Amino acid sequence: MKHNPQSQPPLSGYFEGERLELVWRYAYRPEFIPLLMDYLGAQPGMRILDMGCGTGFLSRLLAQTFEESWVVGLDADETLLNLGRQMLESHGLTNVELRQGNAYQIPYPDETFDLVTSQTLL
Amino acid sequence: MVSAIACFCRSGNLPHYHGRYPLADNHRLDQLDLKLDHAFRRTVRPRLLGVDHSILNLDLLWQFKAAGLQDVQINGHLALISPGDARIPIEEGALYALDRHQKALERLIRMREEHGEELAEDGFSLAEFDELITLKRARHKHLQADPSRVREVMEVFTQPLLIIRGTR
Repeated sequence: MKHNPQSQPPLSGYFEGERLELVWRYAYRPEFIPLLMDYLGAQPGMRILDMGCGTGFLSRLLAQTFEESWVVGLDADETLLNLGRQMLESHGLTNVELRQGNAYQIPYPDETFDLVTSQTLL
Repeated sequence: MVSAIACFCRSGNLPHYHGRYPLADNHRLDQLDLKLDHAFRRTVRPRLLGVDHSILNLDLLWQFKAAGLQDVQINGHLALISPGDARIPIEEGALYALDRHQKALERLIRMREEHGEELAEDGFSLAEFDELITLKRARHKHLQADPSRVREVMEVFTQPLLIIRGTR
């Protein structure tokens, strides 16, 4: 007997990008964010590449925490990136760029970034 | 500097604690869940992770060092999420719970397809797999039929995060 998971969204009006935002929003409690920045080694003024950024949840968090940093989110999924760009606009963030690209062929020369992050990419 | 965030659930999930919806066969669902978890941890998971018998033999630090990272540090954080919390809007809480249920169901179905025979040899039969899938589907449908049911139980989920950091 072949089983098939229910593929329809559990509730109407949501799609993958919104689901991801919800999952990360609940995982990243406010009290955790300073600890996370410390764990990641993020510092003000860093040039940061967030590989496999999806909707840019972590990119946004890094950019909000360090306004003087420059953050690039890279992901292959243009649909997720588009939702992420809308969110950047609504948050008024100008130090983040979300770009379509492949983690195997990063479209930047070596030494461009001080910190490379990835969240559940592997 | 390279930093990565990973979930434990990639290497076999930590237990998350289900509230008990008023469904028949709850006891049976718990019983099968526990039995499968023990069989999977004993039989399949160590092999998938490349360790002999126990997850305790997994050397994450070594794996990241082998990938070329130096000064590797690993920190952990465990978030607890209760989607029935009255501070969370009902539809959002239900969406979160349903998503976690659905992911668990998909994982169970994939496990049956990929490791069912192996686990059957360890005592968790394919018939038990089918029974567990049916029970989990029923629970999913119960909440899906009325999202406000998320407030009827204090279901708690864990979201464990590993933050791995190093330089190269």
